[in-house]
Amino acid sequence: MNLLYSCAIVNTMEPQWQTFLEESLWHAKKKGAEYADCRLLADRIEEHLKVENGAISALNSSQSAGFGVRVLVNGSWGFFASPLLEKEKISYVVERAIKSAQANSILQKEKVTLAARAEQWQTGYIAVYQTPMEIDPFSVSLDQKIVLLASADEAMRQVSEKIFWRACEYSAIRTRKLFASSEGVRTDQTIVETGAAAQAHAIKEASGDTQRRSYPDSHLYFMQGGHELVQKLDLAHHAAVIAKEAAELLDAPYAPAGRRGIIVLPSQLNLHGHETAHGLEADRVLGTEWTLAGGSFLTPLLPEIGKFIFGSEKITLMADSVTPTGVGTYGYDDEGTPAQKIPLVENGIWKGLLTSRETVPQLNKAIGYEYFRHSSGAMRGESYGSWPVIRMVNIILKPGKKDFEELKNSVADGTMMFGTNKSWSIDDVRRHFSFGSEIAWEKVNGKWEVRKNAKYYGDNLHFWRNCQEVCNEKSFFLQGVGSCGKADPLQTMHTGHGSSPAYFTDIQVGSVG
Amino acid sequence: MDTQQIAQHILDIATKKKVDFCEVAVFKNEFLLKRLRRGQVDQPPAEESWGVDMAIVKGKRRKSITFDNPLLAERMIEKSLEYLKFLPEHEITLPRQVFEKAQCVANSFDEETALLEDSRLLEVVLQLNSALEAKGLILSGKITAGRGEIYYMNSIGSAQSCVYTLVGSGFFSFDLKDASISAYANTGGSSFESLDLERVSQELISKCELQRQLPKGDIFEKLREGNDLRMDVILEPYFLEPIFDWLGFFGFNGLMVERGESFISKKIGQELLGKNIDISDNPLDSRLQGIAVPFDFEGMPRSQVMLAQKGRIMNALYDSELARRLGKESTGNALPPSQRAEGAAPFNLVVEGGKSSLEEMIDSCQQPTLWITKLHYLGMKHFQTATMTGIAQHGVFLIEKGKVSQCMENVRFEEIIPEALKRVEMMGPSRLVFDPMSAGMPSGTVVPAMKIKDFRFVGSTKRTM
Repeated sequence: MNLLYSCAIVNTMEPQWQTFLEESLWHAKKKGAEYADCRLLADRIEEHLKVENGAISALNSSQSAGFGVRVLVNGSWGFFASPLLEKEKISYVVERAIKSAQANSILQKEKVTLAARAEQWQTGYIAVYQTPMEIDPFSVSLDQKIVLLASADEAMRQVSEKIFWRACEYSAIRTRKLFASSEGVRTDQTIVETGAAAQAHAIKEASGDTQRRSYPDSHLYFMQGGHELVQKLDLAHHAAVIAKEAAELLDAPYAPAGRRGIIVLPSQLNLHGHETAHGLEADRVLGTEWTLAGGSFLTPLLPEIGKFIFGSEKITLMADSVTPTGVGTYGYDDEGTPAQKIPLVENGIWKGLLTSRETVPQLNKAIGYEYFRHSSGAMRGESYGSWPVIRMVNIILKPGKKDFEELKNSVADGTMMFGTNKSWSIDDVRRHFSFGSEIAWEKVNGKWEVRKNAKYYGDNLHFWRNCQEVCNEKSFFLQGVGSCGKADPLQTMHTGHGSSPAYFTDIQVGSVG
Repeated sequence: MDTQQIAQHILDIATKKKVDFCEVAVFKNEFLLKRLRRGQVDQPPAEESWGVDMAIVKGKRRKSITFDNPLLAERMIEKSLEYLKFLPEHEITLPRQVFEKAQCVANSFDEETALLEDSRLLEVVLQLNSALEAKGLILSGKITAGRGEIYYMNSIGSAQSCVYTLVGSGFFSFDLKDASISAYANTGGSSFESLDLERVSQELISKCELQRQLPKGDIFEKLREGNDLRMDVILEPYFLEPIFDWLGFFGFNGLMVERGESFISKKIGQELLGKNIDISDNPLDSRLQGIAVPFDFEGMPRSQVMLAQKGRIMNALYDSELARRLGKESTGNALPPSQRAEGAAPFNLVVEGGKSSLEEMIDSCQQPTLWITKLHYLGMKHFQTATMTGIAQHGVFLIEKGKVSQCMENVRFEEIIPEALKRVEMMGPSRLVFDPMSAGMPSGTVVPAMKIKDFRFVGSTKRTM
């Protein structure tokens, strides 16, 4: 698949939506907006199916549509949104946004300025982005989806009587969102995300201990694309594998405690990368996110961007909104900035941040010179009624050279290896973390033995600076996390994460329970 | 159309399509929110919104539907009925009981607050800005106001409704020159009158001033990870609220209990908490200040459900379907139709407190004690023991011999919560903690401050680069 095929200079926007957007901007301009944009959710449909212990426990369809208008008046923001996509609503919604901006300007000490766009928008051009896919998940019959999940469910049931709770899920989302700004930007994007997962829970009747395993991931799993991505998961085969592992975990020893070398597999490392990358969001660095998510330890270090040693030289973290199948991939963000690929950390050095048009001048002021020129295109709102905020795109840990098998063979006895994420917590500036995994292994006499209830914890800079090896692209795993919470009111967003297994030294490990 | 008309309209459509059962919850709300950074409005989200969450049953097949534009109802139901044909059949128990109208929650709606004026929110910000600026502090955080209606109706004749207003906040103060000096406070209720700005202002200023005056320390300065510490703690309601919310959802949720994943699984009736711990789910508690819904999403009127009394576990929470499967009675804790697979949850936890003031708790500390303001990023390390982790923030102080002696670096705890609740030595009066994540439903938690013996810590935030 080639992303270029998904962007085209073909006007797919229906005339009534074009008129709706133009009218919103016309009202905003007439009422005094210096800048305005309108995000119109033409349609968002979702389908979710869940099979638990052989029965369908959830089958839900949902649909959403509406529009939101964001304006700048006297250097202050205003916003209002409505689910009623009626022409008569336009002037009311715009009026409310303008009034909000006027009221907010009473408190405005520094007027909002937007970084210049990187390119000149051609008049009349509507940029189109559509998810490339082979099989539209909404064209796949419910029968087929049920069979897929039921097969995985049955595969788990057959493995062991210790598996007391089996859950398989299938989800598909299609979002069509339109955007227009007073600077002439017009976009029309249709994004399709599809996901499926299986989870096995085992119980030891005598002690009541329970253990769980998930595939492909323990979080709501999504990729951008069609049903073909679910077919590639080979759910039934892997469901049997995780059921076996869950049953084995019941009798496994607890993970040991102490300072160890650890290999972190992508199904855990991706979430570690996610929690770290929150600290690389410009709004957190600038202090907007305290109401929900917190700040960043990078705030006082802004003047050192481009020089600060963030990790070992093995660490290159990219913010990438163009990689195929990533749920952080799109044509344009929610303020009309094109998708792109930028380094956040390059060979260990902190190089970049996820930014918006508003945060670029604010960051440059804090840095002391013009370090950032344009937005990185990371603004997304969960829906038409959400204020768009800086969100992770696809956060990619660049693969290294070592083969995974070679790494496993080369590390010393006592090394721990952490699989699928089970619990997570990190402090408000993204330094002190604690992660638990569903499954772990300890290398004993050259063999990898299963350990349960494992955790690793400590200081995040210490963690990244002690990375000794990142494996090659053969073991690279790109996944979508479907439940990243940010902003206020809380917005949930899908973010993409990719990594290969990596090896870290001098990390504190232990167990819980 | 209002929420009742929409619900009736949807029910009429479903009835015409000959479904055996239909239930529908209609939500309508509007809110304004001011997100603040350095004393000014950084983000002003605001919207009017509708939400329909419904389920239809035909024969032995059930499907839920959610949408946000009432005009989509007919199309969504038609499509769902086509889908329904392909579903395999399974046992479904339809509700038979028609419920009485639920008792209204007192003071849940305020006319003046319902006007949702930007100026009212900004007045609060100006007032706090001015108090903080005089002390060299800057204000961040948020304040929000909303109004809404919820209407539930099903095809056997149960119908419930409520209207509400809410005002919620979460304010942070930062030192102008040193952002590591910070404090947090929240206040809220169903009206602007509920805001306790004097308390908030006092907490934001006094905690920052304490941090300015006191030497800074780190209890893990000379320890590496792996060396755990146990210390007495005074935990403010802001810290305890998320812990009790999680204990409520993961611990008392009937689904988790029956699956063996809860700390009360097979232990109902046992004394798992301290004798001084009483927890209930109670929408009628006056300390909620009107932030409650008086019915669940099967239309059952809600009343107080005792979860723990004198430390003894009394009940888990069930909706009617869970109750039927498990041979229990519904406790009136059904989630909206599309979320039933998640089990049943408390909406208004009330944790009874005591009479000790914060000052009395501080005075009583003979052992070195940590006084902690707020909790960040709670994580469940182990469901069956309710072992949780999280990190302290916005004001951590060391108390030695009854005096606050140092301000401390943020610390990470990892604790078996029910065990910690056996070691509660003192409690303050319980009050509403309300910093809502949305205006979609009025739901708050009433919690006290607690002084707890030997709380376990496993690390701290490092500031060195």
